[in-house]
Amino acid sequence: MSKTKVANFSQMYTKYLNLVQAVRSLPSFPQLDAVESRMLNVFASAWHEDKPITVLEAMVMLPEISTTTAHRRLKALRKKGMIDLNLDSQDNRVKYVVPTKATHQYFAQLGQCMEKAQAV
Amino acid sequence: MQLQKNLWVVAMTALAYVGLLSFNQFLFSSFNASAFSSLVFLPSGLGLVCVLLFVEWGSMGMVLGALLMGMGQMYTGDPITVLGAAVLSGLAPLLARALCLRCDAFDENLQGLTASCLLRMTVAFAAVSALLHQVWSVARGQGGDLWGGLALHFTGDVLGALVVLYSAKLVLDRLPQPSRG
Repeated sequence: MSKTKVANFSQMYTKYLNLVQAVRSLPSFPQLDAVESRMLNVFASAWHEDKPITVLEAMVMLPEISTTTAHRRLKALRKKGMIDLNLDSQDNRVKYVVPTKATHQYFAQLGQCMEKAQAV
Repeated sequence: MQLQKNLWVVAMTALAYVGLLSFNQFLFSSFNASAFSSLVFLPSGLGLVCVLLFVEWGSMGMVLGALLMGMGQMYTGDPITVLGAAVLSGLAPLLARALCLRCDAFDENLQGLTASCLLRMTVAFAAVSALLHQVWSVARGQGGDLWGGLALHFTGDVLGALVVLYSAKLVLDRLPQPSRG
C-alpha cells in the first residue's frame, strides 16, 4: 500500500475517532458539578433510609461548604430537575427535599456503571 | 483509486440522504402530521456528519441526494429551484464547518472536537442552511412568510441533527468502550 494511501486512511480514521468521542460525550443528563453530585449522594443515603430532609437540614449536611453555597447548589439542583421541594402538610414553613424521576434515573445509571466496572 | 473511493463516498452519502428523507416523510405521514414534517429534518444530521468526515465529497453526496429527491419524488415543476436548493443543501454544512474551523478549537482532523463544539456547529449549520434556503426561495419568488419559513427551517435542521446525533450516541453507548489497559 502506498504511503499516501496509508496517510489518507489514517487521517480518515483519526477523524472518525474524534467524531465518535464528541458524539459519545454529548450531554444526556444535566451536568452536575462535584458539589452538586456530593450533595445528591448525601441526600440519597438519607432517602434510602426513608428519612425526610428539610431544606434547613440539607443546607448543613455538607460541613465543608457554607450554607450560602449549599443554598445556591440546592437551587441549581432544583433548576436541573434533580430535586424537588415538598411542603410539610402541617407546617407550610417547612419544605422537604425530595428526589425526582431524573434523580432515580441518575442513580440507576450510576448503578449500571458500577455493575459494568465490577464485570471488567 | 482515490477518486473511485471518493465517488463511492458521494454515492453512499446520496443514498443515505434519500433513505433518511424518505423515512422522514414516511414517519410524519404515518402520524398524519405531514404539515410538521419540516419540524424534524433528519437529513440535516447526515449532512453534518458526512461533511465533518468526508468534507467536499460528503457535501457532493448531499447535493446529489437532494437532487435525486427534488427531481424525483418531491418534484415541484421548477428544475432551477430544485437545483439551487440541492446545491445549498451541500453548501450549508460545508460553510458551517469552515465557520467553526475559524472560530472553534478543533482542526481539520477534528482534533479537539468536543460535544459543545458539535452542538455549536449544529446551530451554525442550521442558521446558515435556513438563511441560504430562504434567500433562494425569495429569489425564486417562492418566499411566502420569510420569518416563519426561516424559523421552521432552522428548527427542523437543529432538531433533525440532534435526533441523528443522539441516536448515534445511543448506539455508541451500547457498544463496548475500547479497553484502556
